[in-house]
Amino acid sequence: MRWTDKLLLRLRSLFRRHEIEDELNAELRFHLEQQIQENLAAGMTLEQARYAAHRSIGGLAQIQEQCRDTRGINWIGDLGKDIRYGLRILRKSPGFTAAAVLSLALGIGINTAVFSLINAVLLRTLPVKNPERLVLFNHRNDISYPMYQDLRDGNTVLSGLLCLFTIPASMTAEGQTERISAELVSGNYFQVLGVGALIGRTLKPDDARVPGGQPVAVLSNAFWRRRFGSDPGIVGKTVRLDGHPMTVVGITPAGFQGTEVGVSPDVRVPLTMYRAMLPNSPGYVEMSNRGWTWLDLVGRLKDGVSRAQAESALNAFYVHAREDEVHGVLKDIPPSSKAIVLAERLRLEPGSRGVSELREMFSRQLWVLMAAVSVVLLIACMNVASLLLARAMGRQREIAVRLALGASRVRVVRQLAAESVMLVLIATATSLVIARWGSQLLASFLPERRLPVVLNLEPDFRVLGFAVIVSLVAGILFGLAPALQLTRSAVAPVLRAQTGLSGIRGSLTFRKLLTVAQVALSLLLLAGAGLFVRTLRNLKGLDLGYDRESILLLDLIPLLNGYSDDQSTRFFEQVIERVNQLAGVRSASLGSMGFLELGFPRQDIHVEGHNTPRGEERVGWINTVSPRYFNTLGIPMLLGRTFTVGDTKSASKVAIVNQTFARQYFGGENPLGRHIGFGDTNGISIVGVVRDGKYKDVREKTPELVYVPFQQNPDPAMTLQVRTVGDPAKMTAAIRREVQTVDANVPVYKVRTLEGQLDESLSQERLVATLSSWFGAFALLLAAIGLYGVPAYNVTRRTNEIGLRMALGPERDGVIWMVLREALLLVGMGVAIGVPLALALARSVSSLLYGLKPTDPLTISAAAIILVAVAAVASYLPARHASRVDPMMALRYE
Amino acid sequence: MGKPSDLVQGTLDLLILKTVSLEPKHGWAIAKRIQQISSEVLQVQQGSLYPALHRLEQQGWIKAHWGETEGGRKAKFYSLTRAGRTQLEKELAQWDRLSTAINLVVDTNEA
Repeated sequence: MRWTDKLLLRLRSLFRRHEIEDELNAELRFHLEQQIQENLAAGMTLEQARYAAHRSIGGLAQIQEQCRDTRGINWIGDLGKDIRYGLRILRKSPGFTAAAVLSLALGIGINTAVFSLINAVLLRTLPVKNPERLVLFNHRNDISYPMYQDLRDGNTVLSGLLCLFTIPASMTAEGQTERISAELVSGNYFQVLGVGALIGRTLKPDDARVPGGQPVAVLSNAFWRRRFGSDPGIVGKTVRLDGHPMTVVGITPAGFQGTEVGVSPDVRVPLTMYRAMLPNSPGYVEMSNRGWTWLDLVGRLKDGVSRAQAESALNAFYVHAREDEVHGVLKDIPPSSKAIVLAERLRLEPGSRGVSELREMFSRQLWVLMAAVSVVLLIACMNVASLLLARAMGRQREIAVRLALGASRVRVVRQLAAESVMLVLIATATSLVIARWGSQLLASFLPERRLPVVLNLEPDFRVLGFAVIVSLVAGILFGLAPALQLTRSAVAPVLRAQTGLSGIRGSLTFRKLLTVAQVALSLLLLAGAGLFVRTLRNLKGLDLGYDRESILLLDLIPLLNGYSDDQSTRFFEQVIERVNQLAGVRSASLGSMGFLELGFPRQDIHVEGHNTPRGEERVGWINTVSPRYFNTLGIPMLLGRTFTVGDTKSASKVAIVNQTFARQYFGGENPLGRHIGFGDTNGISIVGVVRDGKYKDVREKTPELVYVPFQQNPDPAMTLQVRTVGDPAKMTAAIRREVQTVDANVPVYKVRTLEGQLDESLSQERLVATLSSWFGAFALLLAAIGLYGVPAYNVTRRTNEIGLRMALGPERDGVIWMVLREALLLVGMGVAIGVPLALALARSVSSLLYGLKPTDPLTISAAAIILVAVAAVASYLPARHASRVDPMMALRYE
Repeated sequence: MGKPSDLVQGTLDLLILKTVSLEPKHGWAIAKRIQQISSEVLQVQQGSLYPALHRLEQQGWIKAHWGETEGGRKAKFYSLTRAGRTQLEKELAQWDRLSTAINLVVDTNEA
């Protein structure tokens, strides 16, 4: 017989089960009747003939079962039965099922959620052609358009070089205006990336030939779906971007977000449309201005060219071009700035995963969270294993009976396994929902920088693979233990007695071990959460050296309007005067340094009489400020005087230094009256000393800082600080109006509160602290279930013994203590294991901590105390239950 | 009386294949035939017969069809397939070897 015939036979066995069963019945009945006939012929009575025939044939049911087995498809039918059985068992105990499914689903779900985030931020490659050939220029926002053109046309190592600039914008279409994000891109943007249009066309180099040339726009897929309901008819229509009509020429393919991870520009327009898109950009700034360095660059390597080769080739070109600039268009900038310009080098970085501020900020934090959630999952698995064991013990008799009746061991294990598999399947399905929702929740913790955070959290093969693997591992972890325990136990003793069995005792020991492990791991998470929360609190509670409440910050850059130094000084004077007179404003001032943000210039500072030779001075920060600066920010004067309106350009040059500066250069001496110099200015006399503060970063070691009056050292870009009476954000419009009254052409940038600035600067710490607290709480809940379950089971098992004790003497407290003691012993062991573990592991996160050691005894003992307290509460319930055991009932129980 | 377990392991298959090799037979007839030919020495129990028939069918050595008995009753008849015939020859050869070997041991007087 060929294998095809065999297959047909098997299939027939599988799908025409009833027919086959009927045939088998008929065949056996025929046999029986023949036997009866023969018996009758041998002279038996009908009764005797029937009886003898039945006896000779034996158990009909058994023959049938054997025949079924030989057909070799029994296992498929059995599988169906196992699954139905598993589901029925799960349905019969909804409490258990809910607890098990929920803890597993949450465990797997948050793991997948954190992994989705890691995938989106750290792992995903850009959906473009050959992403591994892309290179990023680590030189953000520091290339002018002419320089871009020079690099693009003058290199031999890149097959393409694109540039872009991302900004918020407003779009008006179909009568509705909304805030969107836009990206100005070079004409070759899509060609270099190798991305085509889903509908219509992408941008072409011709679209970006001349400034203001082509008013066209390409919509992102997500925006097109959200805003225009995927209407292909939008292509060819005109929308208004920042008030300028632009024709939509195409839609990008789904999944393409651009070159920056975490940002998804809704619309892309040719760079040459910048004037329409940057309404605040002052009139004189042309794209041809070499001083306007604003672009991000992304290049594609030529075949056979390595990143290092490309970098050195581009730098040779770049350094030369920079020298030309310094001697040409930039010849008027101060010598120290020239040195900085000449020292700049291009750095190429791998571009396959795009550029991402988020990645730079959060990669360490995300991995720490991943580790934390895998511990949570481990605890969840232990929990489910413990629950399954408890149930399996309850079914030990049932299983022993089955084994005694001849069920094969494999068959019994399969049935138990089917139950676990059902649990995993339901939990995994639920977890995918949790993961989807959870990853979005997690992403909402990421700080918004210039544009809203948009991450591609669609599960890809990597995320799904992760979920499947995690589920499998989880299933094996919790499913294996009970199955092994059960089949190991012998049949006879289980049938003989109910309590005090070796099998049961073994399982209980195993459950206790699980509880101990859970406690140890929970301690780990709690201690970690404690360390992170205290770090955040330490940072938030830090003395910044100034009063951060009710301060509004606004950036003013009149330089872009072509102001001379004198003009901008006058502009600033007027702005301060007007804003100070506003109702609701306590005090307003200006400073060239922002707060808790990056990017301030540092300068060489020369201290007269200090023995550092000129040229080897330490660099320090210069903050150009207006008279009421210290007053507005609440920075205490320690020595000397503050700046006044009298410190004008023509008055003698003065400066105020911070404590660190005074200590650094003058030690214990009086710094007042000493002279310093920087840049081209010398003989600046120190007239005051103010308290130290945190300037760039709350974690910083305070640097040396020099304050100078703005009239004497005009700075083109200033931050306006306004201390308000009430909510600072509400004053924005009024302040903006005052600025515009002085000069309607000077834009107000980056309005934010100092408090918000602090919050944003702590976003990494907040993410870790918040999430690790959640995970810690979840772990604690799971451990509490274990700490309740084990003594509860134990009490049920020992009901007799407890009854006997109660009968022998009124030992209510004794019984409670007996139960509590056992639970506390487990916690004690867990803590004993968890503390050294926590101490060892905490060291690996020490770089994420502030103001406390990773081995902080307070945090770790607090975690231990919380666990002990939870254990006491959790085990008190079964203990109280035990103390209420009625001795008579208990003794009758057996 | 000989029980099926007394049959040398694997010989039931051989007996069935041999019995149905002449003409198609139903289960009852196969059992009776084995009994008669062996002069009532070999008793095939139904508990072994039907599972064996099903196993042989699954292996493709015999095939089954429904037919009528002499008494006009419907019964399932088994007949040898081509593969079954090859198998029968193999088993017969094996049986010959085995029984010869056993006879040699049993008949010798030097034991």
